[in-house]
Amino acid sequence: MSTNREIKQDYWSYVKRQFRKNKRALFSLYVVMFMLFIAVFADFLANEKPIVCTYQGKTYFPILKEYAVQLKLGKFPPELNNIIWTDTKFDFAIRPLIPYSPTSQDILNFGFVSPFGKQDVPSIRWRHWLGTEGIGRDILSALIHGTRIAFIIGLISMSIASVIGILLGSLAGFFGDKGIQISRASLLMGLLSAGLGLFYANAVHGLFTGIFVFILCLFIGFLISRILKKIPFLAPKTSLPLDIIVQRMIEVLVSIPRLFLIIAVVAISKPSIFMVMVVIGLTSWTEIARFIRAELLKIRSLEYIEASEALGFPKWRILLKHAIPNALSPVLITIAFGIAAAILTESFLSFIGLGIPPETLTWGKLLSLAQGGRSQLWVAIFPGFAIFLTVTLFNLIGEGLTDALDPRQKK
Amino acid sequence: MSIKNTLYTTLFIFLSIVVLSAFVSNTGNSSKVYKDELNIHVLSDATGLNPYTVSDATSRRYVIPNIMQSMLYYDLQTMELKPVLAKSLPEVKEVGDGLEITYEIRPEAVWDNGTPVTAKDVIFSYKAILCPKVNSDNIKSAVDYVKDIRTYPEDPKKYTVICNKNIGAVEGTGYEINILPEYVYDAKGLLKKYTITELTVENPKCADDENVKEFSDFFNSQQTMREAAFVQGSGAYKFVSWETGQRLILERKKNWWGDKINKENIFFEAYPKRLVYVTINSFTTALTALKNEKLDFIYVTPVKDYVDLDNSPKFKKNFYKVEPVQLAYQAIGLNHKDKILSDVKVRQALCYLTNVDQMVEKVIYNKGVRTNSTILPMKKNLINPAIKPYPFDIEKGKALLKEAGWKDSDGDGVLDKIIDGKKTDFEVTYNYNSGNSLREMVGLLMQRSFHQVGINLTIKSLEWSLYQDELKKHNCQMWYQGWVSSPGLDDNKQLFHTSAANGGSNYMSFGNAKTDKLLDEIREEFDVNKRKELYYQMQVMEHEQVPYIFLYVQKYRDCVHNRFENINAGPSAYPGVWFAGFRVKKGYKVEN
Amino acid sequence: MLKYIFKRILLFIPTLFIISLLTFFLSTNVPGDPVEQMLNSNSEMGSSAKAQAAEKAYIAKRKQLGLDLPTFYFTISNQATPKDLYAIPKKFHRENLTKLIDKYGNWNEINTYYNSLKELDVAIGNVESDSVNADAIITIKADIQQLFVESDDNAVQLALKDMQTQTKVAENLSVLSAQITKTENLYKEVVSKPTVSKKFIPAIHWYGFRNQYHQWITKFMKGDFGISYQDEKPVKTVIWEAIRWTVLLSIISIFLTYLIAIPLGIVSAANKGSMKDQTISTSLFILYSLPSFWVATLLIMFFGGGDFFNLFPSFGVPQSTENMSFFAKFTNYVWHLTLPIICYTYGGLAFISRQMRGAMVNSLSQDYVRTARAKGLDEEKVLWKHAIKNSLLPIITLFANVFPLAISGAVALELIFSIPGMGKTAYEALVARNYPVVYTIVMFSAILTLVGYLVADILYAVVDPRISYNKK
Repeated sequence: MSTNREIKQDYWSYVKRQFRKNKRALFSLYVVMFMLFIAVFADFLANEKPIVCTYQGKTYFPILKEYAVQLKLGKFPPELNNIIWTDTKFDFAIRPLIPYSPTSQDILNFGFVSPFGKQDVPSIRWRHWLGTEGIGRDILSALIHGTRIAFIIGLISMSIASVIGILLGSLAGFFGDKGIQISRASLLMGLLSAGLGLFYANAVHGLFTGIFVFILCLFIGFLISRILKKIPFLAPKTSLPLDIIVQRMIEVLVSIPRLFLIIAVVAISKPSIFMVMVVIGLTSWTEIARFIRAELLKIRSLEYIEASEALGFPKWRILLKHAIPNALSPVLITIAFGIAAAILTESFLSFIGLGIPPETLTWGKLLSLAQGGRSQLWVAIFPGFAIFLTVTLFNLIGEGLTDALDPRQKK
Repeated sequence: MSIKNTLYTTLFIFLSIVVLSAFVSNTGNSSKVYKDELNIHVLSDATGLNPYTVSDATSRRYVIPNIMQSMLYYDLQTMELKPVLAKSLPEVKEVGDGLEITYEIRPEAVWDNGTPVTAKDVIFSYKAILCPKVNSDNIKSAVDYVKDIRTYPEDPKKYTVICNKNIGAVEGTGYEINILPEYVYDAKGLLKKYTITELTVENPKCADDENVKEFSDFFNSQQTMREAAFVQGSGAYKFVSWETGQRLILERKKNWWGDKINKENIFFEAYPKRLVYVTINSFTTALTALKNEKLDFIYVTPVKDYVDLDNSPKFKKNFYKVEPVQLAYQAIGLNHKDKILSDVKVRQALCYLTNVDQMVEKVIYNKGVRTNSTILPMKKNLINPAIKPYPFDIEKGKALLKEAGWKDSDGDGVLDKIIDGKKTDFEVTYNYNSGNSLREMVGLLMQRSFHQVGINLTIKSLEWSLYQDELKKHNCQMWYQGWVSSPGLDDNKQLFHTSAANGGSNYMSFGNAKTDKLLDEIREEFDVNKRKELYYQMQVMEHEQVPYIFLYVQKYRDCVHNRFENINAGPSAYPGVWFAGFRVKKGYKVEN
Repeated sequence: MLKYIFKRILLFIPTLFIISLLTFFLSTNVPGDPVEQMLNSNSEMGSSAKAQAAEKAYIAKRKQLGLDLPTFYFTISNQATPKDLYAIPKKFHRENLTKLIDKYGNWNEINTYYNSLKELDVAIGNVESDSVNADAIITIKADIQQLFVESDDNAVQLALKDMQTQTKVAENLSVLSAQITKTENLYKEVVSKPTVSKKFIPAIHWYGFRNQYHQWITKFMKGDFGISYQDEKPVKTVIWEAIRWTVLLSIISIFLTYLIAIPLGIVSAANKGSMKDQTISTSLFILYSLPSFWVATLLIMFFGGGDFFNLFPSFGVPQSTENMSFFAKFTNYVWHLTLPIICYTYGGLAFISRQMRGAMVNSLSQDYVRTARAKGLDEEKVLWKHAIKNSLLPIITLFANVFPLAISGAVALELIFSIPGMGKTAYEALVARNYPVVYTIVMFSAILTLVGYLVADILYAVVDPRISYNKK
């Protein structure tokens, strides 16, 4: 056992070392980390509230206080409750680098004030460095705060998509239609419990209870199938046509218009950023699954896989350690592009009313603002650049990973 | 090697073709001789040319009025009814609890085959609308108070409409209904079997009748929508050709009967040889085409784009702007059944907290005027001078909310009040249909000013169908509402009567016995002064009870090519002009 | 292999069946009512004069479209839900009853309560209105309407109580009092005798062949796709008018995308890490990040004859006139379609060329490439002949999407260039709940998807003979 773990450690530290050798990938990783830093500390970089201020003789830390208010741990004093922060004169205040929140409306700079044009601001401290949008919201502030939303949505939704995609795709590609055998009892109970699971999940209230009930049904079905296996008629094994099933799932999902699915989701659930991620994740795994399936179709017949099989290694181990790492190149590219695509999809979902409320600007929304008219086309440049960065960085990291994981370079 | 070379060669060939084509096809338009046509931009293509079965604005307002005519039209500027197919304004008589409206059709009026327009055609037109299987749901309500039509054997051009008492009756019978030639639309005389009375009352026998079925199958078909042989009327233009999604062309009739009328009113003037309706779905593209003189008329909905046009030298050189006020108003609906908004003081407070002047300035760039009731600013003599719009006054709003019992008792910055035994925060949702950035901006501006008194306004866009659903279910608390009103007499029963809360457009659940009575009386009052008095009273109710936070009336933002004059810009036609009247100025060269 | 292909084609049938079922199921559950959409035209500004879509018209239209039938051959629901719930014409009432059933599970009690409410609705309509009771009548009417769509216990109680107080306002309202008390009691029954357990026992209701799905699918298989709700045109015409331009544009632009992206990918891979590779990658990423509507707008503004160059037409598809020579026609097409094709093409370049590059890098490190190089084969030949064949898997995977892509179109671009295409048609149909059009588009793109995936699977085996689908 202990040797096994050592080998494992060895492998990953080897991958790490390989990755570090790739200068470009490493640099990209650092830039992504920097963007993550911006995402985390966005509130302190761009905010209409001061970091520290004195108002009517008392000193406050409004940004920190805001966190407490959000968590229902504290309250703003009444005199600070309903003020417009940007318009309020404080006796003393240290304001963040950008003194605007992505929601603050600058009444004096309405209607897409350009970054180069004349701005109606009291001093250069209050300048909108990247201009404003229709009702005077600061674009730079929106970009900074948008980083957070973009990263959350891009990373989480693509994680959901990759887990599902890699799992189903590799099952279909590696095991094919005849690779997995299950007993008739399991097949029967599997179908039955899934059907009942759907029925009861529908009967109870709430999404999470529904999912819980569904899993519970599957589990009970599994337990019963263990007993049923004792019956001679139900014992014989049949092959589970995984490839057929997964392919049909993909075909069905791809064929139904996404907008249609989304409208249906809007109807049954309250809009939230969580739903956005789930919707994007659940609808964008198909490409990943198809790529990995295609690669595994090839890989499963390569000599080294057959050799490992002949040596009697368990199939799962072969799949995880030898087959999948070799098939990752197209998947990582897809994920890198997928992250950017997810960020763009968010704006469409907000448009439909599912997702981030309209008072908050996101990268995607900034982009679609440019669609409004000819006079504001320049707005698209900044989020476009942000998306360019995302695509490039994640592609380079993906490439670094592919190289590092490639066992052929191991010598 | 071979693959690589093939790839590069193909690419090269492609590029050269493109470059070539740009030079070959692009023969410049340096000669300043214009074609004798008016190119009108439409944002979405017409759906069809049957006046009873279509409902979209392009078909109904842009195209059809030039092909088919009704008895009366509204003058664009004065908004008075003018006789068109009718010889003069109709004679209206109150008979018992009903009305009799007598029309006489102009003796000159003939169809394209030379036969005169007679009362028979009118009767056919009513029957076609009333026919149970015809998809005329959009116009049926305009005739649902008509009981019968009386004809005069001695004068085939005279007829009397017998209907219920209703101030909208003249508009409904004279303006809304385009008269169609019977010989084209019902050559076989299928509808002759039934009288109007038989069609107005529930008559199961006629719904299953073979003739009715045959007629409605034909009348609902694509033939009456887009085949030149079956799209005919008495107007100055005839329908010639149509490429779906691209352009629709009407051509001036050579011997139009209206030419004999000697330009009695603008509706007898028709100058351009062709009216070409060009579909361009995006304004950016359309404005480029406009600057390139590919279009002669455009109504620019995005305000900012319209304002920015002044920066374009090409535009300034060739076009001018016309801005008639629209006959339509925008407002924020308030749900009177909502537990927070049911309090009239709260609704009034929201009026004080909505900075309408700022919206007019910042959202619509002053291309509009403020309104404070359903009687729009151009109907000056009907506006109650005693009513002043709610000023933007945060302190007054605060005071009203305090009176209504709202205060921030827990110090979280949001007002609260005990309602039905439960502590309720002042949190309301504002809905609008997704994609409409103007409506979004209005919401965001309200959000900011509401925040200053401790009201949490959530803004939520809903996909169009969903938005309609929620409104009909009376599920929205606040929402953006736009209404087109009539150039004639205002009848707001569909908006404000309590009976309209169930199935009608009273999404607010507004109303009480007093307002219901007022609305009913307005509908039946034919005395001008008495009606004015009732309108005054209704405006007071609208102001005090706040069914809507009234916002503004926008202006049409029309651009016209310099070579045209005689635009007749005014509120009562959409989009604010009469196309057929566009006349080429002297000094411009025009060829066929 | 033939056997495999045959098997796959057989599998088309159940897959298409499932897709049709799911689409149909979604369409009946998605909010938004096609009938409402038809009766009220799809414009943001209502006309106050005649906004009411009369209920009669609604019911008639619903019947005309066959939407009053049960949706499917059977439903799998629970013991609490009655079989003929679908027959209640008013959608909001139906939805509310469903909510009540979900909450209490006792249909009999709910139904009697619902009927009592309806009786009350009729009764209030018969009461003469006068100056004393007018307000009370209005309130009661509003309360009844609210009760029809209210499932929240507290709100229902309040509304019932409110009605009872209103009856005391005037003499002639007291006749309603008994009916209101009856309704109140019936509601109490509903609340006090819940049979929620019934919800957990599955039940199957059989409706027979007179159902919406059957009517649609049988017609569909005969080639009758129905009539578009929006403009009453046959769906066939609607789709034919749109698909011509979309297919033309898609095929050219897909062809161009692959034609440009694959060589770029190969060149990048061959010079991995070099300046060349980096330049190609970066410029492709930049192209990818430029939104196509933005580029389209810029292209039109600069080259469409606005304030700048007048090189290309700013809108529309080419119109062919009879007397044009072939060459003139051809250049006219190219002239009109160049800008749209540029916008359709550039966005896809990055992804495809990146996939090609990734696969190629992988192939180039394989033993046989090294062997080939060692044998002294020309580098070009190694690249374009040996390595390329082994790097085609991801490209084939992507290529499978070409088939449905060819008819799908792009909404934003079609709107900007004013091309009457499929993207716009499909989007507008979905928004207006124009289901005959939606169904047809979904089914056709489904068929093309299936064909595309099958072709991909065949191609996998062709380029790499080691791939076989019958391996154990």
